Amino acid sequence: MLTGIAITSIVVCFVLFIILFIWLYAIAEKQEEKNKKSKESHRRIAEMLGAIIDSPTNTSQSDEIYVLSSFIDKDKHERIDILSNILIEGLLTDAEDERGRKALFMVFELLKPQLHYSKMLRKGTANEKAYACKMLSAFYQVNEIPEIRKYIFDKNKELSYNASLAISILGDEDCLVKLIDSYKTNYDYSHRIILELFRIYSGDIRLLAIRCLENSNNYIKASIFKAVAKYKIVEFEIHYLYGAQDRDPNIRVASIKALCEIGNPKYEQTLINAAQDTMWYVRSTAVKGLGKINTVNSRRALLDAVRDNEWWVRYNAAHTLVSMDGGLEMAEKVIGGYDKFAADAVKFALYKTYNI
Amino acid sequence: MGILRSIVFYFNIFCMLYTLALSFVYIIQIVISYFVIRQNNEKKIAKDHKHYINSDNLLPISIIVPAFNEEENIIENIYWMLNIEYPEHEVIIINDGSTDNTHSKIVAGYKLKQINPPIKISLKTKQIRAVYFNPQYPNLIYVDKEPGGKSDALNTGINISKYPLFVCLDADSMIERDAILKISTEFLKDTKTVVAGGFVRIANGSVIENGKWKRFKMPNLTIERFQIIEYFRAFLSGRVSWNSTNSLLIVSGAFGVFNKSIVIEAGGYKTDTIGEDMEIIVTLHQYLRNKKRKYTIKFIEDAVCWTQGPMSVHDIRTQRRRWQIGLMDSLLHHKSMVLNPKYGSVGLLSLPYAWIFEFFGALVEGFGYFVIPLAFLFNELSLFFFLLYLAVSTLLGILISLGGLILEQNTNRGAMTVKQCMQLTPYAMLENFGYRQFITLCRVEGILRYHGLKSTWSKVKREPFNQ
Repeated sequence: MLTGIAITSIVVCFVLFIILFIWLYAIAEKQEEKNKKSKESHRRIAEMLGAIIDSPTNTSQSDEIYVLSSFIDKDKHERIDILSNILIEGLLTDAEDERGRKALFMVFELLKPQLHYSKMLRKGTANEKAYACKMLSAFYQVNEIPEIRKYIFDKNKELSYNASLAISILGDEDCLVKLIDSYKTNYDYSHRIILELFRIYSGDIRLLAIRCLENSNNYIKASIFKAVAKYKIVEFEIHYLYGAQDRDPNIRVASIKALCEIGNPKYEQTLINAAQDTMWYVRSTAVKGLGKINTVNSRRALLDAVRDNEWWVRYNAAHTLVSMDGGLEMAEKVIGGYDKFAADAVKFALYKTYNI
Repeated sequence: MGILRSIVFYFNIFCMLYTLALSFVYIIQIVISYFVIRQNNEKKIAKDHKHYINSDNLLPISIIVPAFNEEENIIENIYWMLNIEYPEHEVIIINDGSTDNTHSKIVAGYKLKQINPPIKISLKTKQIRAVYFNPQYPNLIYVDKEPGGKSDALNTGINISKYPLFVCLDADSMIERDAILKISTEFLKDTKTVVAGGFVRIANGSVIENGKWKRFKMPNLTIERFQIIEYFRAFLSGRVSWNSTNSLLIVSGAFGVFNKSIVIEAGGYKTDTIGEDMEIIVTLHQYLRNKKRKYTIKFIEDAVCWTQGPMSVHDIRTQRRRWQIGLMDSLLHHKSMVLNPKYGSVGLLSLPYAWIFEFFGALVEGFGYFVIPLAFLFNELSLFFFLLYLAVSTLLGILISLGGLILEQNTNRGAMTVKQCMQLTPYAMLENFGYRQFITLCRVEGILRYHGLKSTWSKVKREPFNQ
């Protein structure tokens, strides 16, 4: 009995070994074949696009596009993807090859690769839909917004994430407001995703920010302030001023950051107050702005900040000091002063900035 | 004599059952990993790390590179680290009292000058001798410190670093240019992520140009080929499967990305261990579960770091001994977590597994090599069963090694040609005849010399990467 079991187990192991070996060979071969095919398709498509761009006449260009179309139709799923990526890269590039761009645009108009992704968005798996969102937004297919909207709250994270980015690229304000509002209670994503949604938004950032602020909580408010700081939106300045005195340190940091970007001397006192905040990260943000406004009082506050107890504040203050107009004379005073830590911070800043 | 015979007999039975159980666990891991990798492959098209190349919204990252006697590759490796695809990063090289020319090579190679930067001491470390910098390389900081071991060097790097995420990277490893980009997007999409580790692949033989893997070439030495198979098995089967239950016990010391504030909260790297990579992960599990915080520790098989496997028997012995000591150290230090429901899947699954199969496994297998032939000599085991046991255990070993190769092909990376894959297959079989036994004995040696070897860097000789 035992012998029988033992021999059977050896036979089973051996059979399994043979199966695994054949399986391994099959996967490896499939993999190699796929790689070769993909490389070859890539090469051929690039070649054909080159021929289209270099075609001397419209007729010959149309002929070349027809050849490309037939080539793609033979293995549409893979080849249309290769073509799309080349087109996106070529159409979005800043190169001044106007002729090339026109030719690529013509290929896009005639072959309509976006239809492939449109179909994928409706009939694909969740991951394919996510990919379709990405490609359709890259092709700026605004007409697909209603379909993409369906997925922004999908339970598949990749799909909802890609759909969110897509609606931002396509500039769907209503949907984006709704989405950002949902982040009030959903902390799965980092607040940096909100910043990213603003960065890639193709619509009016100011309007979007105003609408998002309407029902926001502190978390969203701070994220929006950070996201729009670089746009220096005038009507937000009042929000920033109130924010600089908020009890929530995150709001204070975001507001101070935005006021620093604006760099208007009329906010001198607010920044000086922030440079004396109880939280070190508020102080370290404020000192950057003090250099920008560069008033007598701000310089004095900056000199105090170089002697801060927190190293990061000293570090930021020293960098600001040596980079601002007239800062080098002040830096000299700090180096010759009694505070060793302040002097070290300034020396380090001088070396990093001027190699001295 | 009768008692000895009985011991030999029962140990014999125990060894056989243990081997079967271990193989069974490995096979389950391979099956789980197979499906997880397939699922991850499907997700790949939806991933968009490249979207962030030009974005300023990625978390900035500090690359911390502890170095001890790394004169061979260090200049070149720093260059690749400075040129990775990542919007905002700094590279911090920590020279932990090297006795070769590492220090002078780095200072001369990058024309560094001593500076006196402000340092926030969040973790206690050995004294820093000097910090060097060159404004021409604004992302590079070089720190020369008193020797204190790799953990101490990493803690120093954490103190010096200014960004919220840090990567610990071995000085003799080379990360693929987009590897950190791939990993750090995980921190954006899932705020619970505290650590994410990448796949460490054996670079021996492979051609790497400008920090980018170009093609696989079969390495010359048999020992290198065995290690390729081993790494496929360890990373693609072990790490992938444990990752699916958030109970990874190790993120390779060669390449892992950490949330700095959490590591500091947890007390940083423990300095009296040489297995700092496992120790920090188990410490984080313990700390975060004690605090009842939601977190994930991830393994991203798509983010690749290349490392050179040892090329001599001496070096591999040193390496494996060190790994075993590190494992033993962490297991002993965190023994209170084992079978403790408070620690969830870590306490109930991965730690008991590590005790039973990783720690005792080496002992059982090691003693088995002596006791089973002894049983055969004492006539407690018939020749038939002796050969049967050998055949079953070897065949299972081969199946598991082949499983590792299948998993590698399943990643769709297309690294090897069919010919190369078939060339490696015999090594999946051959490693069960001698190599595996040698590795087991190195591990047993590690356990036996635990106290003596506990606090050494144990350098392994490396050669420049194939360019």
